[in-house]
Amino acid sequence: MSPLLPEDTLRLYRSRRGRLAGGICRGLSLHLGVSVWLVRVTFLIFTFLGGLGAFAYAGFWIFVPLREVPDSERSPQRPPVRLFLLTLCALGLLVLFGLPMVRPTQLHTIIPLAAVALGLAVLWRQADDAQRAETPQPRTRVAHMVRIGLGAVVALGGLLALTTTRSGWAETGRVVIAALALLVGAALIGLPYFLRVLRDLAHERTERARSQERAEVAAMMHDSVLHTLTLIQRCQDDPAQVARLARAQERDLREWLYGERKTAAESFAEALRTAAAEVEDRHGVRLDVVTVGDSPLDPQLEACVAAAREAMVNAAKYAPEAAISVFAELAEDRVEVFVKDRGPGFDLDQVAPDRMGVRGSIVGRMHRHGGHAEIRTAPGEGTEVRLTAKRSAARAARPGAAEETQQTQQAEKSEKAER
Amino acid sequence: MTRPIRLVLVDDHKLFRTGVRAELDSAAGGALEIVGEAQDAPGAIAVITELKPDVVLLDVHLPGGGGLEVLRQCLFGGRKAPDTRFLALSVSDAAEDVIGVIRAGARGYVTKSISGVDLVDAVRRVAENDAVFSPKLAGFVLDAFSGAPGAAAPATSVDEELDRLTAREREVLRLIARGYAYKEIARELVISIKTVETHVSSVLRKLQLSNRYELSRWANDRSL
Repeated sequence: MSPLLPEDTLRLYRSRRGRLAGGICRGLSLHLGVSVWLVRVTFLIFTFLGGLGAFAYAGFWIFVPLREVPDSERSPQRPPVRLFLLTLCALGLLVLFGLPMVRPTQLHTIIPLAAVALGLAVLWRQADDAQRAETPQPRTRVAHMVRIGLGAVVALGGLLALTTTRSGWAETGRVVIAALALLVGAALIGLPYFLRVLRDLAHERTERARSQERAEVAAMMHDSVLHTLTLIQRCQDDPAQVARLARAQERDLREWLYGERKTAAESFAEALRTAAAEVEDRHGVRLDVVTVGDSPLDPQLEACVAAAREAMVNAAKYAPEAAISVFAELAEDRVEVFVKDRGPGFDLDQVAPDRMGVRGSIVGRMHRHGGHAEIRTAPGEGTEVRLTAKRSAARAARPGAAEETQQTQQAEKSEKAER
Repeated sequence: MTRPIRLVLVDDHKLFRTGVRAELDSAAGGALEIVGEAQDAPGAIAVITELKPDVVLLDVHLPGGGGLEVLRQCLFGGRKAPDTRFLALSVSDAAEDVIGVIRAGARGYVTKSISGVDLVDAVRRVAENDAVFSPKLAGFVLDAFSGAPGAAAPATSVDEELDRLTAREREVLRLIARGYAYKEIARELVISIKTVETHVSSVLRKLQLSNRYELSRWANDRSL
């Protein structure tokens, strides 16, 4: 099987059932979806035209395998329009080449005729495949054009050879014009039908896309929304749990509807949102994340996200009631993250420096990455943690970056050991 | 405030309208009067044209053309109610929606998760012809106006002014994005609340009038 042919091409078989001789006519009729008698008569006519039909029959008998033709390999019955067109073409060919052939057994008439037939067969097959294929791939489309071109060249070459061997160039011109006229006529007859096929195909395509989308939405609804609603009904006595479920589902849906579908690894903003989502899930609070600017993560930005996450956890612990605002701005030369809660706040001076949980995980982390952290709070004013760091534009691409990461990791390890 | 603000609610979910109505009634304490409701774009246009309310709470996603169609008919295009102010209210945080309704003439954009008190505050502010920016919207504006003003835009003086945020406006927007209320912003920057409102209104005007090409391109990029 040539790799160029699409998978779902119908294969031609000699039919085991309902055959008179080799099962070729029956097989062809099933393959093309036309009446078996039409095929038989065609073979008969061509047999009288210099034995061409007999030649073809023999060829088919040799090369086409005999078997029960499965339903999947049968064409649907062609509409009468096409039958009519086919007959017309056959008749046209007969009138053009068949009738003048008085001594057709000569090789120089049979070979061009065979060439014409071959070319037409290739063209026919292309048209057939194109109609059946749902969405031609670019690669097969190129192959497609090549094959159509080849078919046309072979057919035209055969036509020219046929006409020039028998007469002078003047005659050839006339015959070519006649052939062209025939082609134009056939095109005119076939055009509306062809257009309708195209329209049907386009319609079917949009229909398919639509149903696919519907299926995707349905799957999403089923997997997440319905599931969450069921869970909510089941734990209606626990408001905190209900709120958490609803919030998580809201986030998922938002992500699905408006999300940028970036992974946390390639986007600072996404990493921050992921961190916020985790804190929301774990502590049952609401975090509003706003980001300006974005960039792929590097060690410094990772540290920022980690520190910000720590600040979010603190806010969630001390101010679980009101919404927590997270704002991150990533500019060319600096990164800033603010985590603000509307909780009770506290007096910074009253807290012993060594007792502050934020020392190592927030302040220390930022320091190691060339930034600093700052906490603003007062009783009744809420708390805001501000993280800033200077950025050099070439930071991520700098060769020493990996080394630096290692140092950082070591520093963080030793920090853990200290605790 | 001498007379209550006349308000029209436009949302396609009856349940939501009922909820907002109850919340506004309890939080506003008589400062608001809900004079009408509508559940789709044509209905909203009819009600607004007839009642000429002070403020319309407008859902962005509506049957019959969406909030954009209502804005178009009532303000710039149709001018059926040119003096009515619109506050967009939506669950969507998509940049395209947010920037879209603001460009179409809404004076503010808040998400449906807003508390009743904040919503009353926002309605009052819009009624006084000020602008209301949610943290998200402030973030969007900062993002869209970041960097140098569009080099592709012809540099006439008007465009220059519209395409650039002043340092102060930028500061105000950043504080909004950080979750500060207007009062807190005023205290932080040591200016009056009125001045904060003026800055925000000025940003809104730039957002509506700037033909900075980044704005639409940016919103489209964000919409996916």
